[in-house]
This record gives sequence, structure tokens and C-alpha cells, in this order.
Amino acid sequence: MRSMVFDDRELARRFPAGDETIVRAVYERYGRAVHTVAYSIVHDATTAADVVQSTFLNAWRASARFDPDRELGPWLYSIARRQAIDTLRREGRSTPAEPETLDRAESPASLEQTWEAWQVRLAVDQLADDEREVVRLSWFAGLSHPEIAEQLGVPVGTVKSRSHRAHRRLASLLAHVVANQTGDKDVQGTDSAAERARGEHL
Amino acid sequence: MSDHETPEGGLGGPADAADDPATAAVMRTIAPALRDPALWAEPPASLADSIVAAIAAERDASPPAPSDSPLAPVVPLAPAAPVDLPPAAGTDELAQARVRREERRRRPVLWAALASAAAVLAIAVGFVAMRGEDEDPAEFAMAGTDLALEASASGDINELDAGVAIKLDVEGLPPAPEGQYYAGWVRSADGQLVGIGSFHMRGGDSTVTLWSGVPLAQYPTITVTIQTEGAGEASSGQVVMRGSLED
Repeated sequence: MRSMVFDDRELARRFPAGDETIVRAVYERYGRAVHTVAYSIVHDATTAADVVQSTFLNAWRASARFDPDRELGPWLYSIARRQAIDTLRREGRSTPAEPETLDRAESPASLEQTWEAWQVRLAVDQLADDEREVVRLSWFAGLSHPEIAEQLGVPVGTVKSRSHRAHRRLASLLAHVVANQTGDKDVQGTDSAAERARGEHL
Repeated sequence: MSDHETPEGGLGGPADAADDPATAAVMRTIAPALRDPALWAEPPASLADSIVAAIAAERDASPPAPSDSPLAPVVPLAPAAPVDLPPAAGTDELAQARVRREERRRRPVLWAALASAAAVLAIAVGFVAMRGEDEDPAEFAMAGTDLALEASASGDINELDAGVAIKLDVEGLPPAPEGQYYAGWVRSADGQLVGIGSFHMRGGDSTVTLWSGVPLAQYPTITVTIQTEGAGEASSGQVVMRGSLED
């Protein structure tokens, strides 16, 4: 069952039934991206996990009114972002703000930042595991190719080839991000979509 | 390009990211995201199971897809319980709770006689002239889910001027653990939840009074969830009791 692949429209059409296979498929496709958006806003692993759960619950509750002809991903993104910001605001109200957390609490990540994080996470998730690990070690851990090779126990040439494939793939998957930043901002359209989704489910 | 180049150097990414302009441009753009811990943070492995269980619990209580929705195609609402989930509490338990309530109601005939006499007396002295209490309270039953198999409740609803008082007589629901509490909710047919209060059951009293500010005719399902303090005001989805407010 886990190997079944559903397209987005099929997932959106069947999501309201709450069938386990479909819920897991939606989570498998978007759960980590929802978590990235949540984490980028709340900056806490436990709270981010709560936001992810609330996002999927709220999405399911509102799913009967979701048009399956629309894209499922941006809709989930908008719910996740709203849920995370609401959580952050609630915690900001109930917890005295410390100076070092005040800015963070007052200024959650921008729409553009979280939308980009969402898209990058979805793209990274499409990489093969070994390619994704090379990208993570390279960009996040800041390791050189020899250091990555040593850590993974593979030749440097292998690291290079994985890195090359991974970056080409990311560039292909995310070319529209550059286009959006240099041309018309499609993310603004997503903002409108997010607002519409907000109105539908909250 | 040197193998020792790091993401911090050159065009802002590894050497092989810059071997063609298009790739370099993309990597430059997404570099901040690639360095953000949020991108690489993994959700707990158990989260998918929690989400599936929470949705299953609510689905069994009240499916969200209205049959007349123009956007939602007709789909099977309640397929057979998945093998790796505990069997969902369903109508059997609800029916049992109703039976228990009925038995309690029928048991002592004397009760009914006394109640009738008391009602007559109350009418005689004009107690029922109190505003908003001129109708008998509606009654309902709640059954425990697989999260609280022994729990049940009988309840009545009183429409008062200030709102709708929902009184529960709870049985078998354990005191909420420290750091957790119970929350009551009413739910509309399209899935909207409205909180009706919270309680903990730690004092030994089995009577709980909740208040609704929304008309229950439009919110025909009542649930009780177990919540964690500090985890936010939204429903946890962990339903421990549920019932229908419809006749």
C-alpha cells in the first residue's frame, strides 16, 4: 500500500474521506515541507510538530470544501503558515517575551521566505537519499568534498558526482524560483491563494 | 575548482553548483534556505501515526464531507478499519451508553413519581417562571473512544439567556494527568469546531457543566478531547468521548 503513487488531484479528491492510505500519502508528500514552514516560523521542534499535526487536522476538516482541481500543496502551505503564526502569537501572548526572542516573536518569517523554504524542501525531498545527504553536508554542515567523502566513507569522486547530479536536479526543480525573483512574483499569487484558503478553512 | 571549496566561497555554493550559469543562479537564490536549520529538521517519526489516528478519531465521530458539496465528490466515508489502527469506537459504544442512560432513567419508578411530584410542586410555586427555563432539557449520551474505553456520559442541554448550558454526568473518565486537561467541543456538519469549556476530573465530582455560545442545532456533534497545557488552543484531535446532540 505504501508504494502506491497518487497524483495531487487524486489525493485532494480522496482526502476528505480520511482514509489512512490517502492521509499517509498526503503526509508523505507534504509533511516534511509543512514541518519546514512550521519550524522556520516557530523555531522549536516540539512546537513545529504540533503545528504539523494541527495543519493536517485543519486541512482534513476543511477538505470537503477544497476544490480538487486546485493545487493541494499551496493550500497546505497556506494552512501551515497560518497555523504556525497563530501558534507563535498565542505563545507570545502567554509567555513574557525575553529580549532575545522578542524580534523573533514579533517578526515571523516573511511569506516569501516561507514559500521559498516550502519549495526548496519539496525539491530536496525529491533527491535521492545519498544526493540529499551530500547537499545537506555541503550547504548546512559546510563540509568540503573531501570532508564529506571521509564522513560518508566514499571516494571524493563519488561525492562530486552525487553533488553534481543533485545541484543540476535542484536547479531544474527550482528554476521558477529565480524566475519569480527576477520577474513577476508568482508568490504573490500564492499569497492570494493563501488568503482564499484561509477564508475557506478558518 | 578545488575540492576544498565550501558553500561559503565563490558564488555562494559548492564548486559544481557554478559550472553553468543557470544552476549557479538557482543555487545562489536558494542558498539561505539551504543553510537554514528549518530545511533539514525532520518531524518526529511517530507524527504520521498521530495524524492518521487523530483524523480517524474525528472521521468516525463526524465525517467532514457533506454529501451535497459541489466540490467534494461522493467517496466512501468510512472504509474498513485499517489493520494497524485500534478499532475505532463506534455506534455500539454509543448505543450502550444510551442504554445505560435509559436504564438509569427507568430503574426506580419511585424516582419518576418523586420527580413528577417535585415538578408539579415547582410549577405550583412558580419556580419555572424563571426566564429561559420553560422547556424540558434535551438529553443526549456520549461514549468513550478507544482512547477512553470505559468512559461514558449522559447529558442534558438547557437553553438559557446567557447561552446553552451543557451538563454532563460523566462515568469512567479518569482524571486528566498533570499537564493535561479535557476540553469540550461542538462540531458543525462541515467540520467547524467551537470550544465549550475545559475540565480535569481530578476533584472526584462527576458532573461537568460546559457552555456553548453557538446554536447547537447547527453543531450536532459533541466531543471531549484530551489536551496538553501550553500546546495551544486548537483541538488536539485526541477525542476521548463523543456523542450526537441530534435526536
